[in-house]
Amino acid sequence: MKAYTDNGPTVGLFSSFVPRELLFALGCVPVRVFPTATKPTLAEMYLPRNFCALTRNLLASFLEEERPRIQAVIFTDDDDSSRRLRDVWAEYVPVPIWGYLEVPRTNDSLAIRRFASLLADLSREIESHTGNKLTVGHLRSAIAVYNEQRHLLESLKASWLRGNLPTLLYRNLRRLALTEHPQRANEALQHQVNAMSASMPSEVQVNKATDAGTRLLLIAELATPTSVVRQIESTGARVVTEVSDLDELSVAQQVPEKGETLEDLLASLAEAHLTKPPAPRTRAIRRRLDYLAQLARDRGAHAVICAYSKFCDLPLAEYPLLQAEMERVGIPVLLLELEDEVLSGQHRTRIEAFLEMIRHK
Amino acid sequence: MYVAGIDIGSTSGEALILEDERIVGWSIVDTGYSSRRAAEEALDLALSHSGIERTQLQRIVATGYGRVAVDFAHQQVTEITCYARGAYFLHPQVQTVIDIGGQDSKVVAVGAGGRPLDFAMNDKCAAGTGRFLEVIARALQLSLPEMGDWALRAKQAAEISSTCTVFAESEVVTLVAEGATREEIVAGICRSIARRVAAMAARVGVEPPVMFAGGVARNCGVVRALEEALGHPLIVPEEPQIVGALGAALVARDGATT
Repeated sequence: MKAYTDNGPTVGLFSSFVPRELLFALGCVPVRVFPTATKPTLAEMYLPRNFCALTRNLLASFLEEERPRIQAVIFTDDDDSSRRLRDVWAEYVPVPIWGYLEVPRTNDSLAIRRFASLLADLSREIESHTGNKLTVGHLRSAIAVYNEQRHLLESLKASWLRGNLPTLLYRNLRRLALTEHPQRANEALQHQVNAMSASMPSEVQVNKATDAGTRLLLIAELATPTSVVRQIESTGARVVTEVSDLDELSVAQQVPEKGETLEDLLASLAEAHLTKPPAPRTRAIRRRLDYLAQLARDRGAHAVICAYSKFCDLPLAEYPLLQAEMERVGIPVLLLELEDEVLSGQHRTRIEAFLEMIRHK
Repeated sequence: MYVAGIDIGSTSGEALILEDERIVGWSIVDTGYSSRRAAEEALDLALSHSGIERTQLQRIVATGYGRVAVDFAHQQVTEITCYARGAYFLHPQVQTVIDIGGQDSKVVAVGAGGRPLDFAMNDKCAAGTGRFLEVIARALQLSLPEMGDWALRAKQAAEISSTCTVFAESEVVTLVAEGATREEIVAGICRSIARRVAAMAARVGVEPPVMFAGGVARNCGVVRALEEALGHPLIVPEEPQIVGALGAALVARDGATT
């Protein structure tokens, strides 16, 4: 079934728990909002300086420019920061809020049923704004579009892990997938996959030189700042996985698109989003720690760098447990608390010293 | 075989020439506006003290916050690694090294052979650094070198509650107005720095023997306050400012022989 329109309203999202399929099926273009503020201090008029830096930067991004591309936003109740951002937003940002999605903190069958019902509520809210009706056909098509995107991203990830795709290019493609119209993003991803296939070296030609360096697992909220990745890779170390909304915390598995009813399809979306790799907001902290330790082992990571936004409560509160878990399996961890994309001299020294320490081991 | 280590900090730059296991010369200069110029100047001075020519150097390693500006060095290494190496060279039993420099402070757990095992650094904030002392010295119209003696003369230390340099400076002005003596205020400032660094050290875990290096280690008031805060005596090298440059020279020596 054809989408309602190719150029429906662009809706900004602040969480990876909002199924983009749902919005796309309702004729919207869902895009993930990344901070772009050049004057993050603008947010200090409404949020204290010791408030989550990512939240402040997101708010400042909308305060300093009109963001005409984004016509509405949807919030979730991920943590105190997102709740507070929503309150401030409603008062001071001239971009309407089209929905507020509660997301369960567990993923048992009851939670999945509850989430599916909340998604149905959200879809009715969006329907009231767009005038478009959510149908089985539209939702199936939308799921198919995003399944294709997942397939393409997994293919690119495999290339990146083999060393055939530079980390920064891989991350740019992932960001494009989150911030562009999904079909146009898929075309760009397909183009890259085709280009890789055409020039794909055989297994024996794959460049393993970088594998000789330190292999790092990165953990961040939305995405590790590019400046951190650049700094790491400039030393010869290699990022082998990134646990953030940009990569591992997105829904990677294919969502079943064969449901006969809207309820079936919404249940599939609910299950896919609640059973994706666990974020710090999950109540099952053990599941998250086990997942991170297993991922580090699977990717052969020598060390972990946590690049968290300063004053971001959830990951920072989790950090001591994470550090203890990683040390238990013999993997050292570095914590970086960042205000924005810019690395200070101390941050650079921390990263370099940490990598020197790993190499000496 | 001659090698050189250069440590460019925010306040001072040091260079040290090593011939195998022997320190043959070193220098300390003000960093000023240019890290590169300070590195050249420190190296030239150290070479003249050593009586050797730059062409005799087989390898140069730069460290410190200005290391990236030393483009004539063969390698740049962080001060974390260099302080661990330098401290181990001077005292092979050392398990922890604390460095308080002009702009930052750091604590390094030292392992076998001078290998860094873990570390902690201050954030981009002047509290707990030499800059903090400088600001307060100016407010009290004292010179940096005399601050330590003033602190030791105090019968009690004034309570400085703020850890922020800007707020602490205002607090000092208030204490002066309330009649606190300069000795008491300086002792309070030393204790404030010591508490902050001790809290940072606790993140790494302080294992004795502990070496105290960097320019602030020259301040006997901070040394005493830090010993009290840590509960361990501190080893202060004869020249605490050159430990980083020494470590860099040792890294250079390793690189020259491999």
